[in-house]
Amino acid sequence: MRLTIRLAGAGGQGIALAGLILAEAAALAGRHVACTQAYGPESRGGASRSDVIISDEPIAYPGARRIDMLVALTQVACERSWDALKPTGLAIVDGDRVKPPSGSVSCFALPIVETARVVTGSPMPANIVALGIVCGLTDAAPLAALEETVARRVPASSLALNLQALEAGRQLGAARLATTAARGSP
Amino acid sequence: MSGAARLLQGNAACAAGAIAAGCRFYAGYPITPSSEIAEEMARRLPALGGVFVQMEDEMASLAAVIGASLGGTKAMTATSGPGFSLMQEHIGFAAMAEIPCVIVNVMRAGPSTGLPTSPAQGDMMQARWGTHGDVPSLVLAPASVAEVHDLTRAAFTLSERFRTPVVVLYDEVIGHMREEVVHSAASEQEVPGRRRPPTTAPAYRPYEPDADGIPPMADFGSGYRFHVTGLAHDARGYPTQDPATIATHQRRRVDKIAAFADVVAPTEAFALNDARIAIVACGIAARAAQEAIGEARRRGIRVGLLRPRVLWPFPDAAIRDLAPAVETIVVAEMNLGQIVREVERAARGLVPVVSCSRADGEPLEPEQILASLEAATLAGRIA
Amino acid sequence: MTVDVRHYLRLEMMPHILCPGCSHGIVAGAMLRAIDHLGLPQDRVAVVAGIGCSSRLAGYLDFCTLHATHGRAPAFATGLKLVRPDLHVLIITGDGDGLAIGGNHLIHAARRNIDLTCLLFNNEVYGMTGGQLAPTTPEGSVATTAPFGSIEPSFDACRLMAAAGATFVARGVAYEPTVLEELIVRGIRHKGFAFIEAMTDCPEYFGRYNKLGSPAAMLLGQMRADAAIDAQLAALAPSLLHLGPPTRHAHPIETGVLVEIERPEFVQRTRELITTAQGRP
Repeated sequence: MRLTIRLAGAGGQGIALAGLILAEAAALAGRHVACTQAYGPESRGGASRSDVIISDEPIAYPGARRIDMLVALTQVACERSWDALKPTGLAIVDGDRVKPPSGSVSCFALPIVETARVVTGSPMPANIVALGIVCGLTDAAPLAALEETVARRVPASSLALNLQALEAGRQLGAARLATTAARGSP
Repeated sequence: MSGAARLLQGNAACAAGAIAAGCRFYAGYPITPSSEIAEEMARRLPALGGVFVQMEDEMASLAAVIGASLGGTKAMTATSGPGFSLMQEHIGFAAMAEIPCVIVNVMRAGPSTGLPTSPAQGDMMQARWGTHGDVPSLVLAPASVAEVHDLTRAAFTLSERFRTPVVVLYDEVIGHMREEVVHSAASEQEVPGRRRPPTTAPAYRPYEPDADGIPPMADFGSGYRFHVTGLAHDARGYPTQDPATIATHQRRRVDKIAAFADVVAPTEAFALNDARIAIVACGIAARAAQEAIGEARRRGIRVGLLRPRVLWPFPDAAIRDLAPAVETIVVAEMNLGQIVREVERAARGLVPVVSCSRADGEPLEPEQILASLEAATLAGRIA
Repeated sequence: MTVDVRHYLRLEMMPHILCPGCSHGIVAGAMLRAIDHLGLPQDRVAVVAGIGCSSRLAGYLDFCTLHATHGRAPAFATGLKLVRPDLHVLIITGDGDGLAIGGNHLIHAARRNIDLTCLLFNNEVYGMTGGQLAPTTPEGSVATTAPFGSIEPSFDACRLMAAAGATFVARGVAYEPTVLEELIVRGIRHKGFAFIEAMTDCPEYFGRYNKLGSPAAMLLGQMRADAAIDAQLAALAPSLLHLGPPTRHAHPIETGVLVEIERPEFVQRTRELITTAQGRP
């Protein structure tokens, strides 16, 4: 398998940390990974972007060009990376904040920030919810590896809440996948 | 793949490689995109008994490194283009006075202030010729996070063995990206320090070479008293103007590093066995080339990659061996054409050499290299 | 009492390159007598110098000597001292080396209060390179790059070092080598950054360009410039005031110990940081 995943949002939303956790979890699970931060137009104007390539084979070029999965927490982040999505790719956007451009690319609109707020009382762990969603949608980063990596990367005092956010995201993603499968669409 | 893998940032891997080698002194000055190296060393050295100091500028940084090395400690600094320019005088001093030290340059787009957060490979020639005069030059060019670790560690091996400064050169993409790194016990071993004179010797001449052209190096304050200077000097270290003495030591300093390939394999070949086109590239350009090669081969273009790991001394022999075996060499680099000149020189007209270059602050992507390969194929009607 | 300092010299390096009449040698002698007075083990003394006539002295001294790059001796010395606190590290610099190209490094060494002793030989000119303007050349004096007289104010090196944080600051003149020796002894003993400025003469260039007379006359000129000496002479031997030219300095030079305070020292603080990080009490 080989997946190119892009996490994108506003500066301060913990996008870089989320990309790091995702990459670290995949490495822990024995996969080849390459994680790069934004450079180029996507990174300006307070936006933040993290690209993670996860592969069973060694990765030659570590930069993401065509992406399989885009997780966008803001409108600006979504628009800037939309064209990089493969036709077979999947966009996951925060449904309350993002109106995706029209097109044939599959798009899941999920209450990412709201879920964080409901589960933890704060919108801050939206990045962790997003990781959970990715976990629920693919086996690129298994839950156990993600949990271990989150534990390494967040303060101990907020670990429990972050793990809840992760699980809530995973359930969101898994449920949406199941619904989609039931409908028969890709 | 073993579970001993962990995700590491390129710059963090650099610090880790240095610490593994036994580096216990770091002096530096902040500059994007190298500052993470200094920050990692500041965090880790004290608990290991090592010294970290942020100096007032890059010239002071390398000066302090040289001073610490004379005191007997493996020492390192890191910087980027503008700071690398400032360090040239002391790179020359370390080479002239034969003092082991490691200098890391995480290349960003230049010239001048350029683009602090964007990658480039514009310092390839400077790494060889940046200081005035004829100096031995050892420059390593890692192309992955794991290789940053290993070649930084190897830089200490080389530097201590050959009593000369060694540069580790990579670009901002490699420095900031994260890849999995598998550590082995071997890659964490401390490397040997400089050969010291036997304590029983009655006298010590700091630049009297052993048979391999390398003089043993005493620590300051270890019992021997001696003079170290950047002036042309004799075996005693005293200034001289005698042409024969000067010529002898000039030649010796440059020739003494000849056996560097004992320590680091100078090049890596990828898919070259049946290649009709060869790409020559370093660092992130080599990574892009590898991906381009995969796609090109799917399209029927037989292409391979010769990747210098030791950039200087330039792998002339490898290019000379390659030239008659292929129909074109494509040099992929993120500058306006620097290594291509070396390849042309080394190829001695035996094969067409084409430049695939990019110098706009964006990384050189596989698609651009692929386009060069297709153009070369059409031009030469190469199957 | 005369001390024979020849065992501190690399006699095989003689003759040296200093000009006849240069008073750098007097200052170097004072430094060697200071080292002797303190009984510093010869193997544990490191002398780090920059580039210039005074810095060339390092090559003639039988210690561990580092003839580094122009202006950067304090930075080299910082690295050495940090890894080898057991060594006595002395810096030899000149006014151009230390205050022009090297100004920043001296400032930061002083700021850090690192336990180094810096001896700055101030002959108010770039002697080695033929007599160019220096940051210490008195206004109005002539140099090869100020043929019409300097229009730049000059540094007061001691004030600069004191302001930067040096915890021992002193000035002496070559005319009074015994006082210089004492200042250097106190500077080496001082734990922290010790800065001693020694006023010396360049008769070959600065003296000639400014018509200051013979080397002896220039030394006597130092005598006149030193406020303390001048005052003593005026009180005790007014007839001697005829000797030597009027001072080239706008105002008398203040000599003696100008600053002597205690502040935390950098190498010690670094070692404490390391000890703490290593988890030992």
